[in-house]
Amino acid sequence: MKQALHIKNLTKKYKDFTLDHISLDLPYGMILGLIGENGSGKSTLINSILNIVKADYDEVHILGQDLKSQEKEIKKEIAVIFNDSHYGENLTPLFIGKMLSGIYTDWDQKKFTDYLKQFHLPEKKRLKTFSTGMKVKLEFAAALSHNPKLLILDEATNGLDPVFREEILEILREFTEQEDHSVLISSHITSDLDKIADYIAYIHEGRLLFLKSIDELNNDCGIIRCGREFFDALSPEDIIAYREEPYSYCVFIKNRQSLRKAFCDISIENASIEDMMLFYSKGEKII
Amino acid sequence: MKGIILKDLYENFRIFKNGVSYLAAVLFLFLLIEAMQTGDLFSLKYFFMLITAFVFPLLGCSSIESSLEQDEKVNFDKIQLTFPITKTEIVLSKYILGICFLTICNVFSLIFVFSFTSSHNKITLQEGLSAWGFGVLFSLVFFAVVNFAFFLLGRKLGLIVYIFIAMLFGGIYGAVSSLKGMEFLMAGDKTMIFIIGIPIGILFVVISFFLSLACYKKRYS
Repeated sequence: MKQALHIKNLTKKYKDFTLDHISLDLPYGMILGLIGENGSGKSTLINSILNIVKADYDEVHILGQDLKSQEKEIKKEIAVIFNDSHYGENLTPLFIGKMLSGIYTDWDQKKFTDYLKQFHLPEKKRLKTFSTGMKVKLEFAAALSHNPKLLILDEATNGLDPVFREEILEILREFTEQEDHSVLISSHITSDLDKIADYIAYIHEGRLLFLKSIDELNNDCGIIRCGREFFDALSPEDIIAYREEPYSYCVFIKNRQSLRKAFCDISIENASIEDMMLFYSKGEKII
Repeated sequence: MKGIILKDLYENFRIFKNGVSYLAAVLFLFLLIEAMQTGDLFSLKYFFMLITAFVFPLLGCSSIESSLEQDEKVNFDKIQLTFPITKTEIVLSKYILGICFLTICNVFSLIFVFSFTSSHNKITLQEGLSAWGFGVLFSLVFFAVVNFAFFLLGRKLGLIVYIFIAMLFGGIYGAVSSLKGMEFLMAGDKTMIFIIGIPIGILFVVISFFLSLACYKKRYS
């Protein structure tokens, strides 16, 4: 399958942090959720693939094009939304549209003004009068108005109210209905990723702990709440991590199907993305 | 690049305090011209040279400061680097706008020279054109140095360099005109100085561009 994003052995070293040999693929038409604690390297990864910071890598291909030699062509077809606005506070949405029409050859001014109306953004008011949410809405309007094929969201929905976040998720779903459109979304709001992501990549302390599809995670992983006796009966190979609670154990397991066959009457809950993050980062591991 | 140049133009003139600064500079220029006409011949030539060779060029070198101030406030580079424009084009857009400003100011300076020398017989056209030539030379060198300083040091420290160099040149001009007199600066054929000096000034700008580009690339590496 052709990949919208293909990264092979990307490494970025800082004095006290290293993003270490990250390799991942995002197929066309899919949404990849990037999760990890604060400082884990999510933004560094995004900045590296945008060439905002120079990283070492074997391969980075975006929309089938090589980042080293075709960066400008790639950027014509991607749109990036950060968690705060980087447009000058004295600019107006109308002027931003004019500015971007001079930058993107595929700029669609009508689409942009339609989005401004949809998001209830005043065209001629300066950004200094906008709330945080309004500025992010403007970023979305600008991002979607030059027909990108890949959207990259770096914690873009963090400051938004639940109503608008739901609106954005709907826009992202519609966006990926086209086969050649994909989304890379880094977010702390894991409930949004539960609703929308097809794949989840978890970055922890600069390393990629896993990259799996949501279906794989739901079919393969789960949470068992049990007593000491049952916990001791589980094979260590089936336990990813566990939490000891006052009178029970909360166990994050893999090999869900084989465990269900072995223990017919146990209840295995679906693990949300938040559960996975908490278990991977805070859970006890079987050594 | 067109979009970035448009944004920088907007920030130079459509932001109230920047627009007011330019108006204040023009007003100061008119006051200088008035002061020039009320003094003796030394004052006339002194202020004429000051305006033609110094004030007009200084005005022409200020475009980058206004846009840099706005860019740094919101970290515009972060979104700019996601646009389909290379780092070379980003730096080039600042230089292109700066050179346009510079050209416009030097053209206004030339118009001032022609109008003043034709309406007053106290300064000849040759003297006026000498002053203008010094102004073009100074503007190229000043532009090159100051633009590089802004890219290297950022807006705040770059502005300090701008003011320091302006004062330094002003001091040198004041000292030379006092010690050697205005005849030394304005009289005689200065053609050779300009034939050699202006290409060197252009070379300064080219070197400045590549140094600024290296700074910008290093910052985002």
